[in-house]
Amino acid sequence: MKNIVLLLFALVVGAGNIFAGNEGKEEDYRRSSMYSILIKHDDQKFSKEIGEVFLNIPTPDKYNDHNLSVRVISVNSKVKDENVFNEFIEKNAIASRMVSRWFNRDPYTGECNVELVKSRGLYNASEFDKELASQSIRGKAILEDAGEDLISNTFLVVNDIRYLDREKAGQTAGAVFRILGTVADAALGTDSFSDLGNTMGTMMETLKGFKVLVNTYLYQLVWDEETSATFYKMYYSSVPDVEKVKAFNANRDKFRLQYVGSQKSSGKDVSFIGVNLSDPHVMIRKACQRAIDENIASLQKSFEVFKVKTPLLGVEPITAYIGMKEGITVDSRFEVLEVVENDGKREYNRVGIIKPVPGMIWDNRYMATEEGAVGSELGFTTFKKVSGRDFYPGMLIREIK
Amino acid sequence: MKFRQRTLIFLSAALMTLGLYAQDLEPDVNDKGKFGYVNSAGAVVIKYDYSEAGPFENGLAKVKKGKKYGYINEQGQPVGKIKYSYVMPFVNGYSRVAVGGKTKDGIFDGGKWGFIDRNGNEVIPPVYDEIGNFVNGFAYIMKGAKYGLVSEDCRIVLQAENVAVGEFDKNGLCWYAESGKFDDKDNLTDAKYGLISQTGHVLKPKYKSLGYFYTIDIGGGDKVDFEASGEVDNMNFFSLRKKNSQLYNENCFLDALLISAENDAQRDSITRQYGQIKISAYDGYIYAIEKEGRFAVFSQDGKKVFEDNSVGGAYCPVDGVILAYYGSGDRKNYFYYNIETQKSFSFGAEYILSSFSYGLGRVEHKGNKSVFFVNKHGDMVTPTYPFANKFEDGICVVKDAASGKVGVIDNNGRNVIEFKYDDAQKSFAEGYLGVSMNGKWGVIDKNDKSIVPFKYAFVTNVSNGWVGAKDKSGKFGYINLDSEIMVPFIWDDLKIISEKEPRYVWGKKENKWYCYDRQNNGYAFERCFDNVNNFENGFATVMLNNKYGKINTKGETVVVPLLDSASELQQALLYMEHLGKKNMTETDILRMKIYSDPTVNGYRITDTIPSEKWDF
Repeated sequence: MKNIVLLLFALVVGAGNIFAGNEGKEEDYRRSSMYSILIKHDDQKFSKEIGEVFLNIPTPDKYNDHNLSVRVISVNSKVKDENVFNEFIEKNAIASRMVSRWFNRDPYTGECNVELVKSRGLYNASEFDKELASQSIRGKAILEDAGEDLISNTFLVVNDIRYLDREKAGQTAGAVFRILGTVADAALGTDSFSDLGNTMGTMMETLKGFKVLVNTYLYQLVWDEETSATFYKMYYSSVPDVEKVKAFNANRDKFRLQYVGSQKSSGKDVSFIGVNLSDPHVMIRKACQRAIDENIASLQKSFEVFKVKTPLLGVEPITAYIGMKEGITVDSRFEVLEVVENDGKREYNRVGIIKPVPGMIWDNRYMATEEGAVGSELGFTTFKKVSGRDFYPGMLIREIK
Repeated sequence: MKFRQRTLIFLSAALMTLGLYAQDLEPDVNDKGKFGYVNSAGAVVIKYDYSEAGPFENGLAKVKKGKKYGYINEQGQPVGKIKYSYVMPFVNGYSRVAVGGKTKDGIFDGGKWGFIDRNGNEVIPPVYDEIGNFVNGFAYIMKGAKYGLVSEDCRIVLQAENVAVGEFDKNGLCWYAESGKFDDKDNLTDAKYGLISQTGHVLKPKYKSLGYFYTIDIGGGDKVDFEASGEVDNMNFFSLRKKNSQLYNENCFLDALLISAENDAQRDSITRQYGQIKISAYDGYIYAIEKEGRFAVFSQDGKKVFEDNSVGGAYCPVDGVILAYYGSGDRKNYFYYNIETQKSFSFGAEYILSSFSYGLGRVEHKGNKSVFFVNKHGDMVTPTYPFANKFEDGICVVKDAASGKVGVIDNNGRNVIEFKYDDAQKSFAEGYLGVSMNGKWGVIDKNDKSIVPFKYAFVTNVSNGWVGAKDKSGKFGYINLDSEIMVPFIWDDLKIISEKEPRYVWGKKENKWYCYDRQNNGYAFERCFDNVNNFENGFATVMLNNKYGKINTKGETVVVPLLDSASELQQALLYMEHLGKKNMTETDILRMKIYSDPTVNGYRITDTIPSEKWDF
């Protein structure tokens, strides 16, 4: 009798523990910031629909929305001048506008503020203001921290999305970007990107002959010591200042974007289960969004600067709101990072390594639930510890090679 | 004792099986890439037989063996057959499954769908090309481009034999069309509609139009009854054009009007004019038109209460009487139809009839506008009046033909207030009526007691306990029902108050609107505007140079008056809330306009985009 009572008691306690690992909610954490642009090809079918669909695709939830008003630009595939996109970035002073966004700069009065820096950086608002005002060493460190960990982690992601006819196989993709590959070689001293634009990429088969080719190009905002010092001294003003407005407008070319790399979509796993086939926008959205997400996940794996840090949701079991959309597979490995603040600067120290549990990887890709995909109902991915000490919720994880 | 022990152990094991997630079993993969299940100690419980394995939920897990899907229980036994090309999660104890078809490059096509229960039984065999999502307990089924309906407990309530079906609405009714075709915008045309309730058929599909009666409330107490005539019926017909739409959907009225808009400005204008309209549908009766003139009215349980082969249109039955007419335009010939006696009665083509109210029908002469009232059998209950409003709260303001004086009657035709006033407001408001005698206006109650003495040049209807009045100098002010001055008589006009005892009241002087602060007995602030709305939650909409903006009670600008319309102002307020700001500067508004400017995303890669298109 006593054994049975104990057995029942164990069951009750056990039932209570089922969700113990999942009680925590996702906490705020610092994200990189992203501005994403679509290049659409007006001389091809579905260009208008692709443009409409793209504007409805939200910024991935692991990034801050750093979009500007212009999101879609058109190109004629027959354009021969390959430097056009570089010129577009420069003559429209995109880098300076991305900086303006960070400081909520009023283009008419020149007024700036640091509210966005404070909120995205998760700084204590009143402490931030006090330290800045006092112009102390700690205040300077806070600004440096904001620069290194926040403003310099601002990216421009350019998605070149094209519809391709089966009959026109062999077309060269991304001719516009070929020169940029060369530029990247020179800047980064590698030859990893010189095949950029010379291959077509894998096309996605779709119902009724609709196929999409997506090439994604990644740029990073340059925010080094020289750039930030010049900005704070010459252009930042917390009150209307006509002279600073003129100075900033005359010197927009002082701000730059640096090319990082690119990715072509494979797209072979997209199905149209769950899609209402009489509504082409849903089909196009699913095709485009899956490819864009896939490219972003690949860019994250390839480029250290673009990797996302995701907080742990629970520790018994180890869980996080991350899944197949971010490119997780059974072979993925993640480092667990502890966030430490040192005199106003944030540092991330590795304290362990984890890997996903097979069969417990969340399928959070766009419309995975509608297509009844295995794992779409999980809500989070469960991990196993490979090495390290005890973890606690709120620690961050980041994929490693 | 042993029996009790065995029972308790059994119950414990049962509890474990019923647990939301199996604590013990997790999918695991071996080094050959095959899936099985292990317990928390890592011991294999179910062999590595599967190419895919999902987690257990309520005792079942979805698995793939070879190329087929199915379910297994925690003992590893198949529940039903593992033979499906596709399997969806369980909803209300049923899982949608598909057989046949194939997946090529990620696309599943050609399968046939049905349902299995948690024991693996095919409660609906997989013969359907599509099955929709469940809404209000029902989903559509489709076989060879024909539609039907299935309930959540897997009853086929409508066979898949129809061109289109709607969705069950809040009254448990769903339309369907056995015939018809879709145009290039996917609107159903030339259809014959029927109606089905959740328990069976209501109307056979032989009607070119059907739907609910409804009232359109355009504000200020004015309501218009919808006239079912088979011509323009925004609310119902919009629903009937779209597959899987609900018949009872009051939002359809505005959506149907917006169809005619060719651009954003027109959409804006329509939304401005009609967006505040409230639609109230009567859910007791359905009208159905078989063809021109062939008109019927049914109660919701499908019983026919009226039918006529040459009716032009009809209104919702009230007090058991239907108002209908023959003919059209200026030649409408109205009549009443008593549902109980099945008799109709009319008064000639020179009369306009109104729907019954408080047991009486209002009959108005088209020429001289005189009015009399009749009962449900068509008998005159009152004499003819040169003027009579409609009955409200069982009483009606009327003018006597003989004396020319105004009084009030009840719905038996008896005077509750004698014919003694020279003039009056059309109806009581808040229980009071403005009336005049010997050239002076005052206010009386329903018992004819004088509330506000007869000393004003004019009085408005009572609103929130105040009366707008004009004094002998021609200036307006507000008084309360104790005749105390609430707002002094210094104004050319006053906005009608929208709450009791407001602190701020807008008054007009020399064509500009000023804000009067009652607490300080003076102007709230110096600023004035071309037009205004009353303050609400501390903010008021204002207009300056035909542009809309918003101010607070200190007269400070919350949204600079730069917006072209009230709906654009609404957008600005939502945007302001989204930004977490307390006001919108000129830059904020210019940014907001940029974000809704479609030309911003219309530039080419060779363009230098103008600076006014950039938000930063």
